[in-house]
Amino acid sequence: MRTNWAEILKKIFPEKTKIKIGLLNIPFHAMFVHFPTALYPVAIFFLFLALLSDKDSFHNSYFYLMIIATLFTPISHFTGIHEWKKKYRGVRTHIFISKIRYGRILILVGGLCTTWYWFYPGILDNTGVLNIVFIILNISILLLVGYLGHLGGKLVYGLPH
Amino acid sequence: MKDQIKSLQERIKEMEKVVEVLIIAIPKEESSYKFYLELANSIEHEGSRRMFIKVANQELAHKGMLEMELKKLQQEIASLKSER
Repeated sequence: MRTNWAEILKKIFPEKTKIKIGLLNIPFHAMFVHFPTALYPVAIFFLFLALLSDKDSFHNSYFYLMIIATLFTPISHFTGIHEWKKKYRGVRTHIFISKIRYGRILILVGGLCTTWYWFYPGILDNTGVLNIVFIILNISILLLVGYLGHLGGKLVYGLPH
Repeated sequence: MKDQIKSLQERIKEMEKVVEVLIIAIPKEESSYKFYLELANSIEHEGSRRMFIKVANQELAHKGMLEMELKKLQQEIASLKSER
């Protein structure tokens, strides 16, 4: 059975919960999802600039953008799950299962890339297998973000004909 | 036997696609209902207000129809899955 917290709060505190109920109805997922969606591609753009020109400012921009995007990804994921349970009744169809699965992978891959660069910032200066793996992981973030955005677009703007 | 299971799986897959469409459509009907109701409440002209309330109720009826269809489909999918 679905738990409707807004209704429960309304019954317990009829007058005092207007603000709380209002807060529960704010579309948090729509607000938070744009941070990783926008910041990951820009971070990866700076990664490629850093690879091409080797300027410190590009390295720093990549790193700071990755930190912000990585912090917002789990928030976006959990607000998305909340919305799925509340708005879409937690129905397990292909679109939601894919969104949850790839969202989890994005948390892992994004976190891995950020942590990796945090502890070994020289990864971009070296050449070798690890360097290639690091770049591939970053490109996979781009693909994941694109696919998740595509699925989100389907939910908001409708399924294709 | 294999063909039967395959066709059953295909049927379930098709029905799940319809469930997906319904689950996306229901909140849209709900938000349309809220939109027309708020519009009706903000209008002073009695005729227009009545018209928007009528449209809001139509949206609510659509939502009810979709919910009924969803329930039916979910039950059918559950029974097909138990057959499999």
